[in-house]
Amino acid sequence: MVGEKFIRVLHIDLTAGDIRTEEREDLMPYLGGAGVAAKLLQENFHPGLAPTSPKQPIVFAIGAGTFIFPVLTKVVATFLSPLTGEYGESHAAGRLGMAMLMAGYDAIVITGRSRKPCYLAITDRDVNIREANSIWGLLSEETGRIIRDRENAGGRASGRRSIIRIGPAGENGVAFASVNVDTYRHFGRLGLGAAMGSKHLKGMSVFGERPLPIANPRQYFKVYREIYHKCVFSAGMRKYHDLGTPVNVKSLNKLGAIPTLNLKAGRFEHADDISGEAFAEKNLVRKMACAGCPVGCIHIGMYRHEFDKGQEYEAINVTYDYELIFALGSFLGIRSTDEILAIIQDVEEFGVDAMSVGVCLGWATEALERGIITREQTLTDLRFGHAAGYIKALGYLTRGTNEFYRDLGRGSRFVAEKYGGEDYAMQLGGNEMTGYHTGYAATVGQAVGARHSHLCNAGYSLDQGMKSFDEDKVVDDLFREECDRCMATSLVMCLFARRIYDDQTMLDALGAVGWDLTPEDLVTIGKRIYQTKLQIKRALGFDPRQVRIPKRFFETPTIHGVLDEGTTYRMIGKFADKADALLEEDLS
Amino acid sequence: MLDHTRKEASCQAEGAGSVRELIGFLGDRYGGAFAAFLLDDETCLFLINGAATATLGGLDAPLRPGDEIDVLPFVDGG
Ligand code: SF4
Repeated sequence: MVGEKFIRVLHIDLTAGDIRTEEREDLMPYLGGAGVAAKLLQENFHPGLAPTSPKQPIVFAIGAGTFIFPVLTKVVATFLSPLTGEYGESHAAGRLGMAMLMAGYDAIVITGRSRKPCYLAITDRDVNIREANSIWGLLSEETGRIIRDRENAGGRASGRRSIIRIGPAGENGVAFASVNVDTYRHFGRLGLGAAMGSKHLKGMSVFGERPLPIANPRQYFKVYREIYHKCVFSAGMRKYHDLGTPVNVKSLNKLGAIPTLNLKAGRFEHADDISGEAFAEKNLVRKMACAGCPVGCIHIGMYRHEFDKGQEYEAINVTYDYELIFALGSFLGIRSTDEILAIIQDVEEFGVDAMSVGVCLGWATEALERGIITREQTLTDLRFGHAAGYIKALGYLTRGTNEFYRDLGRGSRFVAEKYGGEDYAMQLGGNEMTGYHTGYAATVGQAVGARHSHLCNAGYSLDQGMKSFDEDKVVDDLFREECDRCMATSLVMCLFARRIYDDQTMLDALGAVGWDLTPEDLVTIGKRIYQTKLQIKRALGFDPRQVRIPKRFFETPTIHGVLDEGTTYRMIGKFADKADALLEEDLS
Repeated sequence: MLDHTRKEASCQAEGAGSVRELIGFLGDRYGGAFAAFLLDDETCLFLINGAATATLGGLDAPLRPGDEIDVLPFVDGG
């Protein structure tokens, strides 16, 4: 807790209805965020039980500097992933970090399963488990609106409360169901939505008005101003505000690294039509920021939706980002911004991870093309470039309309193991691929990363920056970045600001709020957190040496040419050796 | 980037034997701040005839007359 020497943890058992708090000095070596969330998961999980067993925990944790410094906005959620069956970690901001801080909780641990649908109402004064029978089954937006109306603290909460919720996909156990955070942000990856749904937990509202003690105000304002200046005026950050992450579309297309048509290609002939520039010109209506962020990278696009025949239209606003544009655009051959926004709208309302669903639909399209599955199973035409078919399929998948869609809702690895087509089911470690087919570092990085995300170790960034290829150096760099990011996400930093928070900046910031740490401490904390994640992964049976990479990763050229299979697996083996060595280290 | 170049999106450069020399040329033409911006390790990417310099020796990648160089923003995510 800011200004204290303990981490305040709120425990909620939904089976028994028990609510208690504890103040944990022993969690301080994990700092906050990813560190505390991983440690609390480790203390509470049950390796022998399914990820959706009532006993499995869901943990939310803010960081050591959340909301106190610019762009330290995120909350880390940990859980057992219903998609991969192993370690689940997802990050989101919106207002949730600020709200947890103001409510006085560094971490929330939720266990058990409510007998009836419920949502949590958490404030600095009390914690309530409220009935949610009437909102179970509703789409994400309407759910948010109803909880907002109910939990308004007599009007005081407006603009300061955070509301997270799942859509029907989470209720129905789609393994990559997401959680919507304050309408425009998400815990997207690895199926936190299904984990919440399995607890009959529809959502959570958090609000507080606690004062925040700052240990050293003079130093605090000095450090704050420096960081703020870098956030607002550096070119590296400005691009996030200008075009936002969709600025990547043109660059990745030029590089031949934008996954296209189920990664049959790395260039999309209609890339210019779905670029950041095209969205800005045709659809952009608003930019927003998470609470505590001066960058404001959230881009909202508007499109005209015909909701009934006879010139019946409505204007729909949805947020768009690079990841969504790749997964629901180039990957599926969709060539207009309006069609992408229309698909995103359903992804939002049903509550699924955009990347996983796009990649699963890419596999299904190719499997249908090749005759592995039939039109009777897909119930609609799945064809690259055909948005209407994908929109229908999203509904079938969310509702689990038939056996095929229930299988597809378990992810591309599962469905390919059952029906075939494993060579082009584009997942790594069970998590669907991300939008960067840049080279060895991206592929190896996602395969071995703690949460099988491009953000674990930023391999795509290494691929672009290296001057020549040296596999040992790439493995070393990936491993170091994985540890460093464990430290950064214990603050919890939005990773867009990774380069702003160098070690000295982190030390200055932490120093201003009462932490007396050295550069060596930062390294040790990062390693300690990564070691904890590795221990969890090992207890769940994950062995990086067993990862099998679909053949297509070795067929479609990257910016480093076509990847060699032997080199890739050798690099995974070397990374695994380093992980084994870290597991032996004494970091207590 | 276009703020630095006064909205010029392309130009001809003569005599640059490497990407580093090309940056020198661009610095002379558009100002030292632009050169510093281009030299920042993780701000920009250079493609030589469509191939990333990551595979060609980084900023020391050699250039020949007639080569076409693309300067792109470094790709990041968060
Ligand atoms: S950069 Fe974007 S995602 Fe990150 S905190 Fe700011 S607004 Fe949120």
